[in-house]
Amino acid sequence: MTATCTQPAILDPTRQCVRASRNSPDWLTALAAQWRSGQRTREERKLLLQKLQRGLSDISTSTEGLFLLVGERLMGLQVRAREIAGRTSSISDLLSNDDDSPAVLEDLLTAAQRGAQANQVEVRIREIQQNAKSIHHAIEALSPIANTFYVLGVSTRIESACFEAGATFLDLAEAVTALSRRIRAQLGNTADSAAALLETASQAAEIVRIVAQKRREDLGPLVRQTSAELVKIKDHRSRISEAAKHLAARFGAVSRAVGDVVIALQSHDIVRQQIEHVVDALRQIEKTDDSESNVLEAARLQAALLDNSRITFESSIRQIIEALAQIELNIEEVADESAHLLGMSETNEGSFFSSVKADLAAILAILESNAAADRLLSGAAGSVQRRISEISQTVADVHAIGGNMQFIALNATIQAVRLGQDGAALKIVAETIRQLAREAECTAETLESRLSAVRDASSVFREETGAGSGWDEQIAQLRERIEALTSIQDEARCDYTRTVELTAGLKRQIQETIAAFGNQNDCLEVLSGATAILRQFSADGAPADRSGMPQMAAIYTMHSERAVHRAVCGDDSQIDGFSQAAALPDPGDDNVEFF
Amino acid sequence: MSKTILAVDDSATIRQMVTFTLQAAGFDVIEAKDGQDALTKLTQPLSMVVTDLNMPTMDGIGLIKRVRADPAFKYVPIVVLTTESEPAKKQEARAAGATAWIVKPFRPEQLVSVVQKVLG
Repeated sequence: MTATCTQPAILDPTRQCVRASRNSPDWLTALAAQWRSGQRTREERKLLLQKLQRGLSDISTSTEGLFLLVGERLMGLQVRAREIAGRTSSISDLLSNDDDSPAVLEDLLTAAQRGAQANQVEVRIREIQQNAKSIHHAIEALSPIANTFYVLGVSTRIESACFEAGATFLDLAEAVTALSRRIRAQLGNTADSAAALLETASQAAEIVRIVAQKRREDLGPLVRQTSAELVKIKDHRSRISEAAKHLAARFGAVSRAVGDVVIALQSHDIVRQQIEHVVDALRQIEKTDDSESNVLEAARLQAALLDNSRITFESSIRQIIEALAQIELNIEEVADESAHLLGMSETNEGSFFSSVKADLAAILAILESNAAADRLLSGAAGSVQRRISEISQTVADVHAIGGNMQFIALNATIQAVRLGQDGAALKIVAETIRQLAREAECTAETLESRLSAVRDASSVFREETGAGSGWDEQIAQLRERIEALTSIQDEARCDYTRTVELTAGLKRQIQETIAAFGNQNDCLEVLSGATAILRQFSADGAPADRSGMPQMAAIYTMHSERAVHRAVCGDDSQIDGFSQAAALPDPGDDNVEFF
Repeated sequence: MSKTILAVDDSATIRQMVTFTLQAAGFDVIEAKDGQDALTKLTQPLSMVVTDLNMPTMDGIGLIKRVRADPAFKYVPIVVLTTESEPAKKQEARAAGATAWIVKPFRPEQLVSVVQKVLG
């Protein structure tokens, strides 16, 4: 603003805007020089007024294009700013709406860890293993009984030849031998079942040991690490939410500055109308046959009005430049913050998010291996059930054989009593059979008791490792949550990138607008120069004749024009009013009226 | 469906600012450069007319009278947006059928507020 007067020259007649001639267009400089030469014929005056009219009209037209351009860019800027604000807000909403994702993930991980600690499979497998060993021992204990039976049968057969009642002894020998064979056959199969049960239990115990070790050594630390990373994600999201609020405030400031520019751009219309009125008045002055003093006074009035236009114009330009600078500053900050957010998304946040993803994948792998182990254990549980069933059959048979032996022993005792002295040997055999039968019964009871313990443990084991174990469900939930978290994070990252691109575009747009608008010094110079020439023009004349002034007021549409008119043509008390009217008014509520 | 407002002003800058402001507030805007031009745009339902007063060919008062004379637009609110602030002019516009009066320059939110208030 090099060539401007800080207050209307009319208030300070000694102060002339002479600097106008330094930068004014050629036509104005030539006109000013010509006018100072002293040649002031009526024709020259007419020519001067015509040139001023053309020059002022040109300013009005040329500035309109520029103001329209600024307005157009402002619209684009506002649209883009709204888009960025909307996008920032949507990022914040997106992440806030997904607030429960990290929390749910944490719960799932805690449940997975707790599930591992509370798992009873290991205990049950140990129980099965111990009882399987006992069953194995019990079955081994039956073997000597069966052998003794067999020996007893053979001995009885041999002894039967020595007695008269040999047939009775022979029958007993055959019954004992048959039972001993039956026991031996059962024992062979059951020993296999017991060995298989023991092996299955041992394999299951090994699987359980490996899984437990993996959970203890890998899952625990991973869950703790992931939980810490999820806390970082939550913190990051809360920072983004804060940043979004901050950005919203920045856009609010941009919006207010845009409002200032809108007001300032309207002032062009005010200035345009004022200049049009001055041009109309100059046209009238040029054509009038009024007295010279009247013409000169009218020219003096136009100089004052033109100066008022310049002040309005200058004020609006200052307002536009300040508002554009304010917008630029805010956009600059928005760009920095958006870039910072993107930085968080792509570097810091990106690194810890990748780490979370890797940890979650490792946790998933562990859970999946647990699920696979569970499937193996489930198979083992089925195998245990089958073995239990086989051994149960043997136990039932041993019980039955025991009963038969008792029966045989009873018959043998009766026969022995009947034979008297001859039956003494038979009595010994019967007693031995009874003793062996009791031992077999006792072993069967032990077997039954161990089997019952294995059955109970196996039942819990099967439940723990079966479909109801929940691993698959946990894995599915975890997988779903990981996918949701990743998808939201990816979406937010795309939004950050787009926001940064838009902000960069906005920055360019505002810088181009500022550059295109320039400082408008040329136009101000023209207005100052034209004012100075008109003032010079009127200074040459005779004392003022204000008789024709009131008619000129008919052209005015603005309060400021009327104020200037009163200041020039009325009494000096109106000067303050002019000073106030000259400034570009900031619209208050009193510029609106409802009918 | 958004409401349509006819913005009438001989200044392209003002038309641009009015359109910019009202579109940002969600209105559809049709522009006309003077009263005569505005009459040719009265071919579709309008929610409101925002007009300048001093325009070539046909001024704002003339336009208000013509709009009020058209049965289809008789009750359409008309807001005068002008640099003029003389009470006599205001009275003239009111008598012609204007609904409200705003002196330029306006703040965007001020124009939107007046339009929303008038449209109820």
